[in-house]
Amino acid sequence: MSGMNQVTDRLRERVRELLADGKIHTFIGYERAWDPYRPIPFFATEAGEAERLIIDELCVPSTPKYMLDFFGREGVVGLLVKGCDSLAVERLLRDHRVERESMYIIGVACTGLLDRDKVKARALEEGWGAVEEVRREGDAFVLVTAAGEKELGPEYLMERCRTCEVKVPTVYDELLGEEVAATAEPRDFAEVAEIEAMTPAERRAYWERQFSRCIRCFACRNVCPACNCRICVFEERVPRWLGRKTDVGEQEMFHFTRALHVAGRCVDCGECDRVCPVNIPLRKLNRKLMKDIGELFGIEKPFMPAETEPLGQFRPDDPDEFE
Amino acid sequence: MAVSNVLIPKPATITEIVDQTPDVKLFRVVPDDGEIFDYRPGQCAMLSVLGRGESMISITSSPVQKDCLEFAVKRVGTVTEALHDAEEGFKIGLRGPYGNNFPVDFMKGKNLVFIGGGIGLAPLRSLINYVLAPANRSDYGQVDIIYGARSPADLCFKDELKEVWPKAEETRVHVTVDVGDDKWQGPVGFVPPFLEEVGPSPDNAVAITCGPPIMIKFVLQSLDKLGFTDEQIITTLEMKMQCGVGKCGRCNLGDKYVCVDGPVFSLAQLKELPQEF
Amino acid sequence: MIYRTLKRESMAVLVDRLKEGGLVAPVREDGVVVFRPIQGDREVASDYINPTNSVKDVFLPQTESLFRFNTAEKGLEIEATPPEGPKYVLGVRPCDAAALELLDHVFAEGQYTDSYYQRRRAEVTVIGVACDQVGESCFCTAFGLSPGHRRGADVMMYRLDDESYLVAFEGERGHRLAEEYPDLFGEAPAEETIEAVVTSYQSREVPAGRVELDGITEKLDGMFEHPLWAKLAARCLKCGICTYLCPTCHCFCLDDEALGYEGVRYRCWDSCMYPDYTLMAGGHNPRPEKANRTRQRFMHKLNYFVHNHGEFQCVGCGRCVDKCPVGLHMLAVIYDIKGVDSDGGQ
Repeated sequence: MSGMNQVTDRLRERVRELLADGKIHTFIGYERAWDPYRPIPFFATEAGEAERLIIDELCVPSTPKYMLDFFGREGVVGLLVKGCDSLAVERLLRDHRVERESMYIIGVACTGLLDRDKVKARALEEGWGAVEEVRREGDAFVLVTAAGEKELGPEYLMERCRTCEVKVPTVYDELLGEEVAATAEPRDFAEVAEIEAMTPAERRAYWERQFSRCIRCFACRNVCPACNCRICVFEERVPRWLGRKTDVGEQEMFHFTRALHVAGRCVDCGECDRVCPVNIPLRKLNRKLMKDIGELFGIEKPFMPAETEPLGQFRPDDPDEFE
Repeated sequence: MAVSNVLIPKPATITEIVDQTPDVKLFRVVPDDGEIFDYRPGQCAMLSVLGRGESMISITSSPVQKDCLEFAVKRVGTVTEALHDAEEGFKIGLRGPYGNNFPVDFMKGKNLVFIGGGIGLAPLRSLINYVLAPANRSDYGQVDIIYGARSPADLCFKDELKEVWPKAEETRVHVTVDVGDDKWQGPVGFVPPFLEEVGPSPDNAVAITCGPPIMIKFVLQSLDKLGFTDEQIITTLEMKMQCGVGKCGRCNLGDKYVCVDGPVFSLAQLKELPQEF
Repeated sequence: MIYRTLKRESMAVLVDRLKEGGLVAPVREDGVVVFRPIQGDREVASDYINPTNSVKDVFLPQTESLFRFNTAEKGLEIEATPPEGPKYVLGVRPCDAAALELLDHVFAEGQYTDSYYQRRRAEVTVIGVACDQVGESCFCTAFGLSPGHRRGADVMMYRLDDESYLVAFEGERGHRLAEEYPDLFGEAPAEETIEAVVTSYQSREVPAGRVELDGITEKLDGMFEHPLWAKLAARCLKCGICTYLCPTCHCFCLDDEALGYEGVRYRCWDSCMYPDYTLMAGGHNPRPEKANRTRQRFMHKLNYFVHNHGEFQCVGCGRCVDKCPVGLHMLAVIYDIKGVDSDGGQ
């Protein structure tokens, strides 16, 4: 198993060519920034900037949602897309929010991303200093740091990557890196089972506590590839669906509505969980709906964007528990 | 201890509503405690329709008028729509006055050229009636009022345009419309070329302009052609506002808050500020 | 200024007593430390660098009722709703305490002041705890603060040894606390000890705080049209994390909630990073692009605020650094501003 950094040189070369040839006007990838443990989205617009691009297991933020910022603009945007990101691309395509021709997708096969917070905690504890490079060697990750090479085991994988079934992008114009086998561990819904085991009163208290922390920053919505409405229902002024007032009732109105709106369309990228500043387990909420939809409609991979969404159509044999 | 807050309005009553155009109404407002605040031409006030919200509206009455405050309101959003739906006797919230005012002292002894478009006549009207008031008239020179609207029906303050201002001492009124109708016999055309046609002299004059952004843009070019300097041109800005007291953050141009440091700026001052309006 | 000591085991007693008057303090909850009202047996957290939300929440709550109204019988009654809240806030870091004095510039000084804010400032005792740990994102020293600074705090606690704190009480509110609970606080240690402890905190190294800010305001004077803003803004998610977690951001909107004749007008936080923040009723938006809004945020903090109030609108708490999902934070932007030609290479 080799890491994504293997393709860095090829990536830079290709982006340089694409920008120089005018095939794309912008390329959205990653660069190492102020915090080298947290590479950030980088928008290269000149061939010379391709040198700044990197790709490794710390490059987490999803790129496709940025396509909405280019809505209505001429020309092609290049995108670096991992497996999970490719489902986000498909989501936007199926919702008719981007056109395939407006993207040039460089796919990269990913064997799992590192949990930056876990890695950083250890780096701080052991005084590793800056990280310069991340490699994969077998099952381990090797970080080249200011304090030398450090090896990390698979326990440093992001939670969402443990059960990933889409290691190779499902949509791309060109693929960098070798094909990798799908998941190591079967996808389960262990954390959803925990919620289901609660009594209704416990469940109520659990979610109330979570949502009472919400600061209504809308990061979860803004990062979500399934939240792609032209005008979000919560931005509507007439009628008003959501007050500016923050209390548990309003927060629940927001989060439950959002969860139901993305139900059957969520690609389980886990970005909502990552961006939430107050640790609201939003992915857990989405996965509860995903699990239910899978079971009720007999869908094996409910996170895969499909030709027809289970909740976007009606069939006479649909489950109807209200009968 | 009585609790108060600068953001709490006082109850006031809409005593009279006068239709101006299909989408502009004039509201006469009297505070329920009978105390009309002191204000100067160009200042604004916050009007609340409780349950709907609050909007910053320029005061179109002039300080010489003591019996009520007047606001000319165009129907554009939630609050203004609620005001348009109101009837006489309706209770609103009122707080103010806010912002700076037209530089009435700087203008003394000078000829005044008012250039307005559509609802933009509202803040100008406060100054016009202040200048034309008998107590103040001798402080100012010739007054030219150049005004335009989309159509004859869209002209605000028709009575004053036709009956009152033309009869005032040393005052000329020039009105144009973008598109005329069967009855319209006056000039037809946009305000900027009309302004050039009227051709007011920049000598010892001040031009005061207010209207839609696109009109202002071309009016400024026309004034430049006529020889007005940036110091001789006064305009007012409109921004989204919530507090009116420089705290809620959104109406700033650089380090200036339009609600407190504006809305009145000379073109010279405006050019010193970030162009973000 | 008076000094006392507080035994570590007396901290719990102090918390119990402050609780009766209304106390807000950091608690650990689902893997995150946040300021919360302390009621019942809720435990006050101690091992944290800084709570995720800031002490601003106490003085400028995210949602605050301004007044109630009643429009029954075609009338209008307006009744002010006096500010509610705790009497004490405990566990405040020096950066957050200092941020209160920046909020004071906006709400308690100048032509218009906000009585609700002022009342809270007058009534709430700010009990700080100097920083034993310095976070990787902390940069308070860049703004002349330090892990032991006392600006804005009524009380500041420093760890004296494993058993006790050195407690500094300042001003009327601080002194009142010392006088209220004489049984909890012990005699001040020797002057040299006080000096040594306070100095050790105030001279503590803050690595990220080495960033040099001299001349940045002047440089920004000429950077309004700079291409840097668009470059930076490209990665912005248009969320409100940076502004809402910031202890110094103060922007708000007003919002009515009514049912039938009765209703309340609230003041709620708003964010300059939201597209509709400056959107006018007619549809015009003076800041339609992410670049306009990103520029506003950083210009406000590093330039406009300096022109208006004589100091930066940032205390280096590091929350935006930690929590921006795409690294569009104060430290990164400061370095980027310093790194570009002010004329944009044109």
